[in-house]
Amino acid sequence: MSAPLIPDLFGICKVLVGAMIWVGRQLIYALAGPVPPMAGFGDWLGSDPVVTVATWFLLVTVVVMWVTVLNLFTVMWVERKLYSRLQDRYGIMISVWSLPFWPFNRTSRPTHKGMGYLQNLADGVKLIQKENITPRNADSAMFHISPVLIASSTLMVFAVIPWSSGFYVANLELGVLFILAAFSLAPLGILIAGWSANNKYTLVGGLRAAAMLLSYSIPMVLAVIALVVFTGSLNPVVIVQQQDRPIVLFGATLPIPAWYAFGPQVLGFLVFTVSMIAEMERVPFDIPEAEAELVEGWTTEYSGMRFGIVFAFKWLRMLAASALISILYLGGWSGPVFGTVFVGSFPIPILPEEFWFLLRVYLLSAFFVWLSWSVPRVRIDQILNIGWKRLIPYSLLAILVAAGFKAFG
Amino acid sequence: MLFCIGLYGVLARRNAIIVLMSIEIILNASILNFVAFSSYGGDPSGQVFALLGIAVAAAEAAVGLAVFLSIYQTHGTIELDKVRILKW
Amino acid sequence: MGVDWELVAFVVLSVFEVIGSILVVINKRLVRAAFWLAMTLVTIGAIYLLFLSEFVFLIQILVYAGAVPVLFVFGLMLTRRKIMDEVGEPVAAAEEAPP
Repeated sequence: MSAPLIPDLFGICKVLVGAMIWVGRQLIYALAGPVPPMAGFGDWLGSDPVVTVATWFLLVTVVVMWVTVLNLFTVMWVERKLYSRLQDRYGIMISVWSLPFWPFNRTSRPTHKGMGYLQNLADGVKLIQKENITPRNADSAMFHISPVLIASSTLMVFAVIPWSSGFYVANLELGVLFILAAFSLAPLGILIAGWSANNKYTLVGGLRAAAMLLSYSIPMVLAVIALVVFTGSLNPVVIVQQQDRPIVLFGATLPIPAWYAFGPQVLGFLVFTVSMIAEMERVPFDIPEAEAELVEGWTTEYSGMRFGIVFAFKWLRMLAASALISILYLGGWSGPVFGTVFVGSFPIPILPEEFWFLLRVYLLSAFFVWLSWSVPRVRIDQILNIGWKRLIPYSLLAILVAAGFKAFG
Repeated sequence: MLFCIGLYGVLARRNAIIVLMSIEIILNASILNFVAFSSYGGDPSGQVFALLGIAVAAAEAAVGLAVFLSIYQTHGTIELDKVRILKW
Repeated sequence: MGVDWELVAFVVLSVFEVIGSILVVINKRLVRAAFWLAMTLVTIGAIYLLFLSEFVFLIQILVYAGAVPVLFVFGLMLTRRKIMDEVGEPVAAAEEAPP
């Protein structure tokens, strides 16, 4: 039904790399007159393995920049602006009109009335300028390793999340399982971070975080198992393609898309959403970093850009969780396309798949923000009760329902 | 190799949790053998057995930790030399 | 080039794995032992990937890297009297003591 804006990211990157290498080779062959060995270097640069490796580098760079620079800043801006408006205040206001050079520093335009999109950039610059403090009795090696572990395991999730049917790094057959595995790597890093800082607040925060993430990853995996009973595939692209059709109920075709959230999977959808909220440590389940009791939880002792990394990781996880929920249950990037513009012979859809996917991701993120700034915090024993006594039986029930529908429906 | 290291850990260390970790290493050595031979023989049943082994090992870790927690609560220590409940 | 890259990767991963398991067994600081256990298990998972069994690899990461070391650290922290190094005790005493 819909068409992607970028049909094949790998092909586009390959063309770009080919162009860059062509320019480089022209320069090198020009140099090869005075320096003869350069000709061999130019030949090597044009060989096929080199082009492939460079294409992969460019591909990963493009996706990492897309995720961390564009989407991370946008989702942080959405959260900070939205909760400020929920609390009836303006919130962040540093925007392009606050930049101190020519086209922006107009006297007629007050600097504190922008939309606030550049506030996160300003905060990042501030954090980079700060000193990195390591506590004296901390286990310094592990203290420095754990932010790397946390951030890299979260970025690994984005290696297999497709942003449309053509915009992905890798299209694995076991993509959803890969995402879950990368998600489950974080508790170890959090626990190490909490332990190594040698501070009782970070230790308590890390223990709470590890207990919570560990117990909520079980209903998460069980809900995905209930989904896989239906789909028969763990490939995210295939799962989205299965949802891109109208729903059929008793032989009648309804004008509702057949998203898995509408079918018999609704229980699995609810369980998965709740456990995802817990996995990203948002407020109903933010007992690991309860500001009022534990300073900042396991992130207390970090400072400078290291704090920025472990803090931005929460939003990265929120982005990944929203993308995962919309892929698995909300139809991914399927949506209507209102006409196509042709540039030469290259079709450009007006509302491409990426637009529909980002719309779902940001609506889900806004829902999580709204939820987390409206409800109080749950105690740790209540959290574990919800996880073990409610969500796991519900997810087992979801597996049962899915198996029943598969067998008899 | 891995099996021998794990065995050394079981025999030589006194802290019960290190012993449990060594048991995990032994189990992983056997699972690695399953996967390797199923890969070379072209028989996927070895992978199924490896999955079974992983599940059993995880459950074993949880149960072992629960046992050691209760031992700690009754005896106040988990140094294996000092726990004398089986030596009556 | 006649280098068998799979063999090279296998040897490197095995060396990492054996070193990690030795460190698990001989380490005096128990939480570090749990961390080396995690590294050992992840490298074993990478060897599964080398044997072209991706599913076992992902399950290994999901179960062993995520859950089991965290369980062990839990056990360590619940069964020890002294969880953390006391502030100023070992390190500071060593620093202040005259040689």
